[in-house]
Amino acid sequence: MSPGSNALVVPPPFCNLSEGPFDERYEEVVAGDDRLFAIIATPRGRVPDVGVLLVHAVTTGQNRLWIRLGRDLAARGVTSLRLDLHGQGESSGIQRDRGFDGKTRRDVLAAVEVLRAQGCTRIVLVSYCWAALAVLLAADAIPDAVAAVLVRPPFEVLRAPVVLAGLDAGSRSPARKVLRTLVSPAGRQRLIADADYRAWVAARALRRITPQAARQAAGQTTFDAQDVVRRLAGLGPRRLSVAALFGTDDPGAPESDPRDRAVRDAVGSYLRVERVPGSVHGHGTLEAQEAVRDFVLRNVLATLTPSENETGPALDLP
Amino acid sequence: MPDQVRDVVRWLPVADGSVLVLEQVPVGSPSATVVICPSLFWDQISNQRAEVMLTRLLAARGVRCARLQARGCGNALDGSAEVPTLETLEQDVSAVIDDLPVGGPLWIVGFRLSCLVAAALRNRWPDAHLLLWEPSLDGREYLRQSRRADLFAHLRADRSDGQDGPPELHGDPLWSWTATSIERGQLPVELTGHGRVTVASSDHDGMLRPGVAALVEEWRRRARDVEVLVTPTRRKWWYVGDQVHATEENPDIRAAVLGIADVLTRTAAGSVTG
Repeated sequence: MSPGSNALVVPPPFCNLSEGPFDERYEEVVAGDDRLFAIIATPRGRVPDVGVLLVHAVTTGQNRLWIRLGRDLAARGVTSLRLDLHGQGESSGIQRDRGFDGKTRRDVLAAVEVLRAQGCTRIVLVSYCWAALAVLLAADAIPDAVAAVLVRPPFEVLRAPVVLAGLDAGSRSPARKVLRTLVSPAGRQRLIADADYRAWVAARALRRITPQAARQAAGQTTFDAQDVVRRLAGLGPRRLSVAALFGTDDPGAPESDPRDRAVRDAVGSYLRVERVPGSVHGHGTLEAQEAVRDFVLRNVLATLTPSENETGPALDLP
Repeated sequence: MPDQVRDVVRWLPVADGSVLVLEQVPVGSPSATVVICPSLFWDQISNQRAEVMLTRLLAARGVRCARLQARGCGNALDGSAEVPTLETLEQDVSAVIDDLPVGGPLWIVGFRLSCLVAAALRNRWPDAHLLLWEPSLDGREYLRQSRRADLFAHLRADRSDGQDGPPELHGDPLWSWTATSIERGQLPVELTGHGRVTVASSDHDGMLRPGVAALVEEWRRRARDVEVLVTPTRRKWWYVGDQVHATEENPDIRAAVLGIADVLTRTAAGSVTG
């Protein structure tokens, strides 16, 4: 390959952060016995009413999408706090609990408290994937939450009455993943052509489907899905503005699958779903990141009053 | 985390930008200083928890540790310069080392591609010890592997690999200056400096990876004392997406981190001989 032959040639948009209209600082969020890593971005010279909590779930605070979002929001006049949950990124702890209560809920509530200490009186919750459900459920304990902006909340995990750690969402089970790879045309082609890929699939299948993995998963009840659905229904009277983004290839949107009827009934009165082509799961492409960024910015800015929204020109941050 | 360890997080101005420095500082005089060179692309995420585990473990044993998010990466994301490159990574780590108080022997740790940065830093700190963790030997090969890993990750997720869009790796843009710099990078056959060199590399049927073993042999042939730590991690370059959840509970990664911590602290105590 010639140097740079498959690399971006166009330089990124210019932005010197030291000249940006916001300040950033590290904040240690104390949650129980854990110390959570958080970066707060605040618009320079003003104390906004709106504070946005960005919880990026299983990615980390190093992820460029969430960093850009935090800065974008601050540049547009709201305080943002991007949080590494316990056991993620730079935070302490080990994330064993993949349920929606326990330490994750504790982390969210502790971070909201930090936003309040910044003078924020209206909280917007922004989150992704599994944490999006955890954050939405935590909203019942956040009376000043005015909106939740969710990226691919995995409503499909609520199809089973009881969800077990390691064997959770049907579409994410190891066996189904392997099968899906085998039957997709691109996967088949790659399996035939690429010995490394064959080795990868074989190693992964062996590693995932082992007696040890089954033992680890057995008996670990993570949450009672019916209880979660009941709690989601209970958010209806709160008149919380809730928007969720899905890619057309992503599972999870409670739309037409009969198995999702209970979820649909629970959230139908308040959930607004948007779709973009492809997948936003993992936001592993720049295109998906742009779609998520646009969705989050639009929905957060919609919570501002007209006077709050007059915060000068939007920056195109790198 | 033990109370005798303090976390310090700060931005450090560097050239035309700043880097985010993450330190674990033990109470009292540190027995050694460990600086971990920053990774790029997926390696930033995949090894993050292992590095967090390592630095907290070392700090609890009295070693001062520093990691950083370099210009153009993580929270030091900044579009005002042609960053990151191997050269700017080297400048950023140099600035951090310059900024740290001197405390015992200095270890420079590299992971995969950042081993090239760590090795280059010995030109400035010839007495520094090197720990090369899963070293990439060649930047061109690193990029090739990264591109294939990216493709596999997209296949796994059954989604388009974004080939129609701008070049990218695992959701990070691949700038032309970054690619050009990486493609020029190689682990040198002739290592500068006189500090110790330790290579920690994953198990390949009980041995080092063949390429790494060949380089270690070459270094030894040139009268360079190289310690080898074969770690039990079975991680392969194509496992993009793994090792992010509950890294601390992965027995292989745990064993690797403990082994590396033992090497760094034994040497700090002066009990490792050449």
